[in-house]
Amino acid sequence: MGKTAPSPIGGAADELAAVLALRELVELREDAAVERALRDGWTWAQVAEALGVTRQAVHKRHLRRIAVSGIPLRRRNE
Amino acid sequence: MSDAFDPGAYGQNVRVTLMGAAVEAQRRGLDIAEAEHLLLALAAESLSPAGRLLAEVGFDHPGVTTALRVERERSLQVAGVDPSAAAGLHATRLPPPRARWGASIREAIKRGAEDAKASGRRDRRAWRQTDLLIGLLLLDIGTVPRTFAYAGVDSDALLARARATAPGSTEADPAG
Repeated sequence: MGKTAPSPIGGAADELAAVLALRELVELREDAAVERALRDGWTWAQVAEALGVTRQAVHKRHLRRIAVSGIPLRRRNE
Repeated sequence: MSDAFDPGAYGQNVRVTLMGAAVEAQRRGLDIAEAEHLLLALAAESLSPAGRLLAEVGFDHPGVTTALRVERERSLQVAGVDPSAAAGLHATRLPPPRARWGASIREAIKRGAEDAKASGRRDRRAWRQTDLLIGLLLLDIGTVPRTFAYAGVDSDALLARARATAPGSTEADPAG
């Protein structure tokens, strides 16, 4: 690629834009799936295990929004 | 917003639009305002010269919203993902308390500023919302140029019209 700006659509521009669109979709899907699991009675530890991350990581990403969602959360040892 | 550039350095119209871009991002649960949020903010100001120019090409606020969705859907299709994959997904989203300036909005403002300076307007307080639109139209790649392209908007023609509203131009609008 020279100094001329590439077209915003087609070729590599499409491939890169797809990454951005997929990232947004994955984030939305994770948010929705975590919310559904907690509504279905899953614990934070179970959600974390399913996602392959620590409970702390799931808390950090989701706790604040889940706290206002009205979902009754199970305690750790329930 | 405590990043490198300060909206307070601009005139009131530009300042309000920049803060509008931050609000557009926050409403979507995002803590980073990007160029597409600036486009939405400009389109929302339907009585401003920039808003009127956008509306003339179908980019009023609902039009921009639709065009941005089309861009994302077409980008997903490139990866072989059916855009309906996002349909029915529900997630509680909280507006973040603050929104930072993303790379694309910074680039748009920089290009709009360079264009204003090139036409002899160096004082940031004298920059207009149309300069923000010019900056968006000068972006080469990314979501906003893709959105214009997929919507069939002649961005070169729109850029010429936006520049024609600059002070000193024969079509200049003092409210611009």
